[in-house]
Amino acid sequence: MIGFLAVALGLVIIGQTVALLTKVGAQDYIGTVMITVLVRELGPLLTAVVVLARSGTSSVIELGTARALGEVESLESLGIDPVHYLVVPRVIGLGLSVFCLSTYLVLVALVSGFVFAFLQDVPITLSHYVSQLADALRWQDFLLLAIKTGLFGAVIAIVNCYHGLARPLRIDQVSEVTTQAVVECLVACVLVDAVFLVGYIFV
Amino acid sequence: MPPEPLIELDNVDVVHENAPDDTVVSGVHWRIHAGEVWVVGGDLGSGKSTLLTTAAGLARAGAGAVRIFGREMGVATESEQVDWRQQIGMVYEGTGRLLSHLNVMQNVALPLLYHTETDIGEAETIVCDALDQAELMPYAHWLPGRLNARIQQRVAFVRAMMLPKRVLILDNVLGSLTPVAARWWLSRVQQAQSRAIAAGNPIAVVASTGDMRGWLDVGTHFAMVRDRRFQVLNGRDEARREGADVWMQPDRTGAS
Repeated sequence: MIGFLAVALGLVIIGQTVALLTKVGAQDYIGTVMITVLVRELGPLLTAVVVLARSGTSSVIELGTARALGEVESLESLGIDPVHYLVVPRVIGLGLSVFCLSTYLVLVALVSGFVFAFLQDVPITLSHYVSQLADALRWQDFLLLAIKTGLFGAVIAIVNCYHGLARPLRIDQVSEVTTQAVVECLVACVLVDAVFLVGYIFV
Repeated sequence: MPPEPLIELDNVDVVHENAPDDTVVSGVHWRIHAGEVWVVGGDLGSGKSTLLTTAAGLARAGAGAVRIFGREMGVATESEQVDWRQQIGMVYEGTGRLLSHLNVMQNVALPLLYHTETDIGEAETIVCDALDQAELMPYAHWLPGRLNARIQQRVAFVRAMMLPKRVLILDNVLGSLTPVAARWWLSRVQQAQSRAIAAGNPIAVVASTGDMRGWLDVGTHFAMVRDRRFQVLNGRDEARREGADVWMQPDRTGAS
């Protein structure tokens, strides 16, 4: 799923941007545009949305159903802390997975973007493309990418766990809380993104 | 000096989990000692399950004091409560509330792996042995959803007994079982009692039921929950009469 999206992103957006910048003689900005669009904005956010759709929804359904069927109380009766057993692994797992998948998406999109540009006969060599990207990248980009994607994953997990576990549920309320959780996750991710946008201005 | 009760409810109001203002059973005075087998009868919806959950320290009382192993619940720390819960085995009504994403073996192994330093290989041996003794080994790799409710409840019993217990709470496990199926439970309770006595730590058993007759031979103490009151019965004879009366009384649940 992420691979397909990355290739599509590379072909449709990156390839066209490269072609357009070259046409107007702004090929020196290719690296900056790529890093700004892919590494800082689109890559992490798109990955978070995919992870939310693919794993976040199933997670809130699973937790909501477990709550409605009394499995959470059952855990408590075994002396197992539901937050430790159900929430913490999700926060860590989703944080790590959004980071890893974002990195994968960015790399594949950058490669597929160049392939598309090459197929369109855009006059740019691989070494030029790579050196532009390398020049545009700063160490802060790696750090902020890691923090931002980790936060996206953590936010998705926390919002989902909150809706799935925080209050007693009936089984017919699971679909309702799932919808609420997905909407709130999206809003929360966009808000986190906005905070980082402010951060990028000062970097 | 009389032995200290394992669980003590002192003038407790049992309230509904989702509605703290809704008192289900009021003014409960109840002391549960080691070695006792309490059978709590009552109609469907009378509040037996909520009473048991409160006695197990899993739900807050609306009023009064709940003391578990001599410590009052309201002032107990989180770690004390976790410690109690490991010593109180709870088998819920219906399907036993197994974790639906874990198979039978994983469900049973969970408390062992979570609370002890047992490695996975050793845990597997212990769990297989426990499942084998409970005649549940054929289902070891099945997810709970594939099992019928009675088997799920038996698995929940095996899971509840994985760690040494001082109190075992069985919420309506006999339900509408046939006498043959009910015998499985009664023999398991007796086995658990015998093992605990042999180990020098007799356990207390609390079982709720809609029909006392199934527990008459095993129970040592009997009580009824009705009209929002908890009433201790005067021995087996009164429990037998109550059990017989259930079949003579008009339906108070509204079910036809």
